[in-house]
Amino acid sequence: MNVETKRWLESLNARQREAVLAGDGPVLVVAGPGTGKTKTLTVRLAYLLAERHVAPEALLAMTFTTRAAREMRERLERLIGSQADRVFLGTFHSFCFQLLKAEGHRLDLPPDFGVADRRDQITIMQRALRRLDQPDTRTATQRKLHEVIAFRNRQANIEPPVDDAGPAEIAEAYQRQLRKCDLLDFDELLFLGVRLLEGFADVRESLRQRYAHVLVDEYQDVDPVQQQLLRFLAGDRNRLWAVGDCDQAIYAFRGAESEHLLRFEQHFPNGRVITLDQSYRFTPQIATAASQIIRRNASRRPLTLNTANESGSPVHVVNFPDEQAEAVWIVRQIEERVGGTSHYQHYQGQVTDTVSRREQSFRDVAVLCRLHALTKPLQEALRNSGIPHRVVGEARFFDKSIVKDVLAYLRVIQNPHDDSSFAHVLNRPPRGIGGQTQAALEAEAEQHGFSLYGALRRSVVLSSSQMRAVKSMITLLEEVQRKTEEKSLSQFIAYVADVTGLRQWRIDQDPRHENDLLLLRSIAAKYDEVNTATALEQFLEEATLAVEVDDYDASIDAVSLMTIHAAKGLEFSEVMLCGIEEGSLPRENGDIEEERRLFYVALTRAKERVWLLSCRSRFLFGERRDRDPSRFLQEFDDSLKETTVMPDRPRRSKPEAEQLSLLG
Amino acid sequence: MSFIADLHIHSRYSRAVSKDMVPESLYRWAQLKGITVVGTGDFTHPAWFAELQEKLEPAEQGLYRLKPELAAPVDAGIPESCRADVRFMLTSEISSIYKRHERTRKVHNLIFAPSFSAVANMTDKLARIGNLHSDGRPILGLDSEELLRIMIERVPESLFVPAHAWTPHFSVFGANSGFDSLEECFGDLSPHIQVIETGLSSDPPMNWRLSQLDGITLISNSDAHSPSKLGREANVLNGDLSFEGIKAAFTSGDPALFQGTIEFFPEEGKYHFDGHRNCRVRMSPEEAGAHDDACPECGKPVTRGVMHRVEILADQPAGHRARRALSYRSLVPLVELIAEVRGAGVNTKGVTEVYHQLLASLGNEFEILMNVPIAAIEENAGMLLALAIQRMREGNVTIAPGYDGEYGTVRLLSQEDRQSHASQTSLF
Repeated sequence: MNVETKRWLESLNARQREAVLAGDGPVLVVAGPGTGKTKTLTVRLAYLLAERHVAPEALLAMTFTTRAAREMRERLERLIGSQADRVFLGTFHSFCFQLLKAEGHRLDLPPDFGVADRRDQITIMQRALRRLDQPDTRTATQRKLHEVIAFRNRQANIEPPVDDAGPAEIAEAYQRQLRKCDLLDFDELLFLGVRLLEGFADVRESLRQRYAHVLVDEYQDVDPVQQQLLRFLAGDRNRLWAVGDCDQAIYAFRGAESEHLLRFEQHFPNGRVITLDQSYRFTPQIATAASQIIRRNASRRPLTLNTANESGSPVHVVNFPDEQAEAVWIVRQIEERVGGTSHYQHYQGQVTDTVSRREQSFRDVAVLCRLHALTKPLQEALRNSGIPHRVVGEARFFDKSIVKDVLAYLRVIQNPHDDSSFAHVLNRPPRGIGGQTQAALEAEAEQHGFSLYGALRRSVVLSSSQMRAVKSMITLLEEVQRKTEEKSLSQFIAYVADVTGLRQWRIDQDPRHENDLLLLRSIAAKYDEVNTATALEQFLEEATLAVEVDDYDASIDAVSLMTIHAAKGLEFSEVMLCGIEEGSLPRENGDIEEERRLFYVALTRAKERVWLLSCRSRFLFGERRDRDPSRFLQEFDDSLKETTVMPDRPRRSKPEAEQLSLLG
Repeated sequence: MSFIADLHIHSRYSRAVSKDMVPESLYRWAQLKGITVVGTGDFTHPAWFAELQEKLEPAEQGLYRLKPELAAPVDAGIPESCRADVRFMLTSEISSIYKRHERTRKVHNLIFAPSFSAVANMTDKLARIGNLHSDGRPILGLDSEELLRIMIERVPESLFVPAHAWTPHFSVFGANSGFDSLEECFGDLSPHIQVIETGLSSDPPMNWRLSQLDGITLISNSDAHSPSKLGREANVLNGDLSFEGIKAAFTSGDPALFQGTIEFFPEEGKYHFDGHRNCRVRMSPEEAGAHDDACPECGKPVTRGVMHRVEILADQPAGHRARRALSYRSLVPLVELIAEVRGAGVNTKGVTEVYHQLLASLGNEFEILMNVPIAAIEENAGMLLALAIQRMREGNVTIAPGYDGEYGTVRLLSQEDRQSHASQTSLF
């Protein structure tokens, strides 16, 4: 055995080594959180290349996220160098994309097809609906898109069948429109990949010949379509090497079936199962608590996490009177973790000396929630505190409502025939032109071949009061357009937002829109020195492209705020779990085992410290409710936890009431 | 012609800052103090930036002035003796909190920018990185080196200056937050750091003791959070009254362009010595060393002050003069002197009244502190204040050094002084 390979193998524990050295397969590696799953998979690849002399082109490794694929490729490169480039290491989607690029002509796909993103999907669905004379407002479109996706999934057996026929007609129209633009949507990549392998034995056979080994990450998350794909690829040679953890299966709602992981031996009677339970991630307290909790699930494989790590602090369980108290506490706690964020805190004695010597920064802390909605008060508190944080999945700046409004106005001013922008501003602020009228107007325009702007003046569908509103808006826009050159771009933006009534309308909804508007102006100010028409053009181009830019930058040190689902596969030194309450985790009517897995996944994101936070009362979805701490908090030993109950806030109204009675 | 610049201040949009920090007040107080160029501070804050764009207009290259219609009513309330032109320079401070080399770092840096569009170019990028709304001095999870890189890429004509370089909790050399060298903090980009701000608790001779700062120009600013604190430290310049002129003076450190700095007595700064504020324990570096840096009262670690930190990093003996050494003058704010003479608090009505009367008869505060003949001061303000100012000018002061966030206390007069001048009549 080569010296290098020996070194890699020595860095593994016995079970990991067993998994790496296993024969051709099928092999299932059951890997608990923090047990070195990625490392094991990567060394397996390296071992096959270096010791079993498998050609890199004969290796196929599938992951669920590009993040995981990237991480594995980097590791593999460190182990074996540039050969790593020739291994297929990517997501199911990227595999199908490449397959369809090469062989899609057999399904009559154009060679230069593109992939539709979410925005394209909406636009295309809108067109489809228009063709079918159905309402195509944004909400209606989004709803139909969801329905069509669910319908297709049912057809592909990803989601359980329902009785009614489903929107077959719309699905077909949508498909036609997609194809007209030479686009495939995300799900279609997989469907068509499977259809290709199913329909063309020669393609199937050549892929089976080519890939001597098929490795799969996150096996518990594989859905039926992906499962089918794997079956076609691995074929009867059974060279499947899968790693997964049924306790971390939290995607049942997307059609994932951990069934094939649980019944691996039935599917593959000659299969081998290796369990990794030695965890390197967390303290014994976290490992034990997590194991005790998940043990209550029935549908799982036995796995108790072990760790040789140093003993740490207990699991902190904290109960608050309400979500405001919870948010304030979290902010203060984060400030303490980094030893204070301002001199002011030091003067106020808000930061204790002992904590200020800790070596934590913002990136070491994550706040996880079941639902985004639970994080609203916290987001507000974090914003006010100035603590850098990133809300994973949050709308990007150019997608914020007032920003979109202003940009739409600017586009209309630049080109009144820009229909989608015109439609956007028509009733923002409200001018008495509702969705139905707007749809009628759009139909009218399409019928006569006018733009919306052109159609408005001649419209017969508007009532006289609507007509008046529209006319005054058009007069206003023409007036604004004439003023373009009198102002710098940043002044012009302020002017547009003011005279159209947009600013006041948005601020009445939420004063924070003012900040977004100011920020937009300060971004625009860099064009202030060129003439405004040119500035407008350049600025709009920038704003359009910015939508495509990924603003997420991992080099920024920030507290992460995300759902438990989004946190899967990540780890943080310190994790605060919010809303550990009956009704949120577990949620009402949820499958209790899936809910427990979610809790388990959340808990096992923490390396050093974890806080389980709950409130006695919470304002959520428009109403305030009393809340009970989650039953999961009772599912691990008291000796592992430290419980704090924060007292109710002092009621301010009380002394006044007493005074009144004294006077009386 | 020489002029004074104070470039690090904060607006009312920053935490713990007076509501009175608005362009009009800055304009007024710059005149009362004798400052020609005042920083705007906080240019990253969208509302403040909008206010600046609305109220200022371009003056000399890279500098701005308050619009005449806003300046006129302010001028009416300023004594003739103090009236002067005031220019604004677009400046901002950014708090970077991040991990580097496995330790949490908290470093404040200043950026001086030459135009509104340069600022917009910078904030455009920063707004995508963090929250600029909640604080005029935003906290960004951005490595100082990255911040510098962004500035160099976006607005290379700007100037980047590590702020109050020695303060323990938030600075490039800070004991609890910083680095041992500029290279460690700024990596390959460290040659771009040509200027640092010394902060209240250190003065030039302390900085001269580090040979790594030999080629670095030391500047001083007030970091004022209220208008009356403007100019408590500042820079005396001789070159062109323009952004380029000031930048050249700073980056070259040429004494023909940059005469030197106006300083606090460093002992008066609130992190000069070591100590533990809660237990009211103040210690010199030697005393702290003798106690293993622990508070003798409670045993907790003391906050290591600037003096101690300098001694740790110093590789030159006390008294060494750096290659770029400029001259400097240490001053005590005039209100503090008046307060001492009167035996009253600095914020009392009587002290404020006397302060403004003196300004009206003798000229701006820097004039009084540095240039007005002692005889003229005595004539207008009495023997005791004249004596105090004379002693300050001679450096003949007694100071209980500041520590762990507590300002040092300065004394210029003794009991005997008071007795021997008790009978005189004066403003006091």
